[in-house]
Amino acid sequence: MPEALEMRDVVANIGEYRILDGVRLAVPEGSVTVMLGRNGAGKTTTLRTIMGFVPCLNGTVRLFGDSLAGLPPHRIARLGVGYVPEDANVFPNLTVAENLRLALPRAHGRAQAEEAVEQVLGLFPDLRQAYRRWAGHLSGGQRQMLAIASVLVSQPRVMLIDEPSKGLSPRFVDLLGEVIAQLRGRTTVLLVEQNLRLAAVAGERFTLLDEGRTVMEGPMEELLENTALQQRYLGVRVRERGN
Amino acid sequence: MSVALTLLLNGLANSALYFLMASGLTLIFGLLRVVNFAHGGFFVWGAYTGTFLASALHNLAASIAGGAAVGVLLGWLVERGLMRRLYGDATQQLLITMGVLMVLSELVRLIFGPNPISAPAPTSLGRSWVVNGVPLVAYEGFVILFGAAVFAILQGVLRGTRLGALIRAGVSNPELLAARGIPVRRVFTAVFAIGAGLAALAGGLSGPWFGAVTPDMGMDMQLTAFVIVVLGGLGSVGGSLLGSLVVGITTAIVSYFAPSLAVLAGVVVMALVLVVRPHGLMGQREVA
Amino acid sequence: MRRGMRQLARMAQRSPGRAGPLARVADRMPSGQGPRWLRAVLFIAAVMYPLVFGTGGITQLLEQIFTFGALAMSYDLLLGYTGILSFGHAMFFGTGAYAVAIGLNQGDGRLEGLLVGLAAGIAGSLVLSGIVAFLSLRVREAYFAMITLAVGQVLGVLAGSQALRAVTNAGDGLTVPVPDLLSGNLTLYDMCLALLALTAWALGRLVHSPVGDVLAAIRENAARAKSLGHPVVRFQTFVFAVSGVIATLAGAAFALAQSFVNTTVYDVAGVSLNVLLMVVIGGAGTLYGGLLGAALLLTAQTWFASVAGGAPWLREYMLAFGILYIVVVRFMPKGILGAFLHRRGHGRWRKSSDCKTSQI
Repeated sequence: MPEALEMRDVVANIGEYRILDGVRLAVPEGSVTVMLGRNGAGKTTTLRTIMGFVPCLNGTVRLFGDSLAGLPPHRIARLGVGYVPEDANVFPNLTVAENLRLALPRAHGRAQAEEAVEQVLGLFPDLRQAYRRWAGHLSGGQRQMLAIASVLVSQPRVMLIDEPSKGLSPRFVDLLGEVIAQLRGRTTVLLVEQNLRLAAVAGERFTLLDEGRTVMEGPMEELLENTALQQRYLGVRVRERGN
Repeated sequence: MSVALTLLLNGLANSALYFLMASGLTLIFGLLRVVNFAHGGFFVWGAYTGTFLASALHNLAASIAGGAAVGVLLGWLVERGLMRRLYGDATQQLLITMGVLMVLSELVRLIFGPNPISAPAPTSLGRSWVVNGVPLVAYEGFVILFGAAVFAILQGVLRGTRLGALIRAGVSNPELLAARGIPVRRVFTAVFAIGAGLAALAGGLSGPWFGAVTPDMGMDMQLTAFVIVVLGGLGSVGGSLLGSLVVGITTAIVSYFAPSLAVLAGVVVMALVLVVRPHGLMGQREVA
Repeated sequence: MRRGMRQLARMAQRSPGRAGPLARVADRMPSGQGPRWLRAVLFIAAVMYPLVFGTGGITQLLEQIFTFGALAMSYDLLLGYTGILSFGHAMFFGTGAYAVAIGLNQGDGRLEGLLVGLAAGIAGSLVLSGIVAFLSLRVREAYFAMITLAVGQVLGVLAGSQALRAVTNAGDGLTVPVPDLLSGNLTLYDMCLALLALTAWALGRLVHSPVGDVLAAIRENAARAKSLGHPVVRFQTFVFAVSGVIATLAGAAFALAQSFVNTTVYDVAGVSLNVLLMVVIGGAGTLYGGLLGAALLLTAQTWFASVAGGAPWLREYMLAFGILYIVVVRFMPKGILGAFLHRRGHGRWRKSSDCKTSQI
C-alpha cells in the first residue's frame, strides 16, 4: 500500500540557488506529519515543490503512488492536494462565502456545494458569522481558519499547511491545534510548524529538515523526548515561541 | 449654458468609448500583469469590421456584434499563440503586444488602404433634435447608454458570477487560484479575449461616432486608453470609469476651445494626477 | 554630468552587498565589445572608406548607420543594461534634431546657432528625462513604457502643429543650413563616425564601471537591489538622462547629415520601435549589438526602398517590419550578438526564467 505522500531524494533550485538537496518524506494515509527545521531549511520550498510551483529537478514526488512530476499546480490540486500557504492564503477581495466556494468544481451540483460548505462551516463556527464579509476584513486568526476551510471544502486527500500558527495569539494556536487534530483520520496532513507546542498537539509523526536535507523522521514522541535534537536543529528559542 | 450641456453630452459619449477600451486594458493588466499594447489593434479591427459590415448589411446590431466577435477571436489567437509562452517575462510580453499592434494596423492599411473610410451612423440613429438650444444627437445618446450598459454588465459579472469571482481572485493572487485547482491560464485567455472584444466593441461604435475610420486610429485610441488607466490606476475597473469620464469630458472641452491642443490635454491631466497621486486616482499601492 | 557620474560611482562602491550575490551577477555581465583589435580594424576601415571610394550612396547609408548605431547603443543602456523599456526614445532623438535645425535656421546657419541649438536640445532632453522619470519610474515599470510612448507622440504632434509653424514649419519640415565648419560630405561623415566612436567609448566605460555593476543588479532584480540599499530610482533616472543626452546628440548629427528635419524624427515606428528592434536583433545588453542591428536594419530598409519600385508588395515595409519584430522578440530574444555570447557561456539577456516565476 503506497504512502499518501512520498518524496525521495528531491532536489530543487530557486534561481541559481539549490534549496532542496535530498528531501525524503513518507506521510502515511490519515496521519498528521509535522515538518520542522530552522528558517531557510527548505520547508516552504518542499511544499511548493509538491504543489508544482517549484520544479523538481531530481528525485520523485508521489501521491498515493502516482508521480506528480511535471504536472501544473492546478492539476496537482485537482488530484487531491490542498495547499494552505503561509502568507496571502485567502483572497482578500472576495467574501468569505466566495472564498469557500471558489475551489468547488463546477461539476458539483448546487446542493452538493452547499452541503460541502455547510460541513466545513460546522468545524469553523467563527466563519459562519463572517460569511458575507470581505476576507480582507477578517482577523489574523479568522483568516487562517478561512484558509484551511476553503481548502477543506474540496475534500483533499492530502493537505499541505505552511506555518499556520505564525503571528497568531496563543488562544488561536490552541484552537488551531484542535482543528488540525480533528482533521486526523479525515484527511492526510503535512504540516510545517515551528511551534513545538502546536506540533506536539497536532502531529503524530515528525520529519526534520536541515539545509535542504531530511535529517530525521519518526514518531512525534521521539522528537519531544530528545532535547538535544531539538536544540541542535530547532534552537532553544523555538520552544519559547507561542508560549 | 447650452454649450456646456452640449460639451457634457459630447464628453460623456467620448467617455463611454474610452471606458470600453480602458476597462479591457485594466482587466488584462490586473490579471495578467501585462500592459497590452495590442489593444489598439483590436480596436482598429473592430472599427473596420463594423464599418465593413454596416455597409454590407445595413444592420447596426450585426455590425457591432461582428466587430466584437472579430476582437474576441483576435484576442484569443494572440493570447494562445504569442502571450502564453511568455508569462513571467514582462518585457518580452510588452514588446510582443507592441508588435501585434503594428501588424494589425498595417494589415488594415494593406486591406483597406491608408485613407480614411467614411462610416455613417445608421439612419435609425442619425436623427437629431434641438431642445432649448442644445443639439441632441440620437447616436450620441446611444453610445452613452451603451457605455453605461457595458459598465453595469461588467460590474454584474465581476460581482455576481463565478467567472467574476475567479477574475477577482486571479487579480489578487493567481498562484493561490492555481493552488485551488483552477486552470489560471484559461482564466487568462478568457479575460484577454473579453478585453479584446470590448476594445473591438469600442472600435465598432467609434466609426459612426468619428464619422470615419483610419488605420492610425488604433494607436491614437491606445494612447488615450493608457492615459486613462494610468490616471485611474491600473487594474481598477472603477478607476478606468473615473479616468474615462475625466479624459472624455476634458477632451470635449479642449477640442471645442482649442482643437489643436486636444492631444495634449489628456497627457497633461495625467501628468498632474501622477504628481499628486503616483498610483492614479483609484490605484492601489503595490510592490512592483 | 561627469560629477554626477562620479557621485553615483562612489555611491555604487559604498553600496552594501557588492561582494555578495550581486557581485556574482555582475561578473556574468555580457561583454559584447569583442577583441580590441577588431574594433580598431573596423574603426580604421570606416575612416578609410570614403578616402578610398569617395562619398556617395554608401557613405550616406553609413552616416545613418553611425547615427542610429549611437542611438541604439544609448537605447541598449536602458533596455539591455538597466532593464527598463521605453517606447519613446524618439523624444530625445527628435528633440536633438529639431533643436539643431531650429538653432541653425534662427542663426542663419552660423556655428553659434548650432551650438545654442545643441545646448538647448541637451538641456531640453535633461528636463524631459527628469519629468518622465519622476512621473513614471517611482511607481511601476509598466508606466514607463506607456508614458514614454505618450510623451513621444505628443512631441511629434507638437512639432507638426500649425500653432508652431513659425518655428518648426509644421508638417513641411525644416531644411537645415549646415555651418561652414561642417559642410562637405566627408566632414559630416567623419562627424557621425566620431559621435559613434565617442558613444561607444563612453558607454563602454560606464557599463564596466561600478555603476554598471549596480545597473546589472537592478536589471536582474530591482527589488533585491533596492533592499540591498541601492537607490534604484536614482540610478534609473541617471541612466535615462545619459541615454537621452546621447540620443539627442544622435538626433542632432542625423539632422546635420540629412540637412533636413521633419516630424518623422519623432515617429514611434520609424525611430522608437526601429531602434528598439535594432537593439533586440543585435542583442540587448551587449552594447555593440545595437550597432549591428542598426547596420542590418538600415541596409535592409535601403534595399527595400530601392527595389520597391519593381515589386509593389515590398512597399508594405511596415508590415514586414512588424512581423520581423514579433518573430525576433518571440524566437530570438537574445539577438545575434547575445546568442553568440551565450554560446560562449557568458552572455545573458535579462533574468533567467527559472522558478522565480511561478509555473501557473
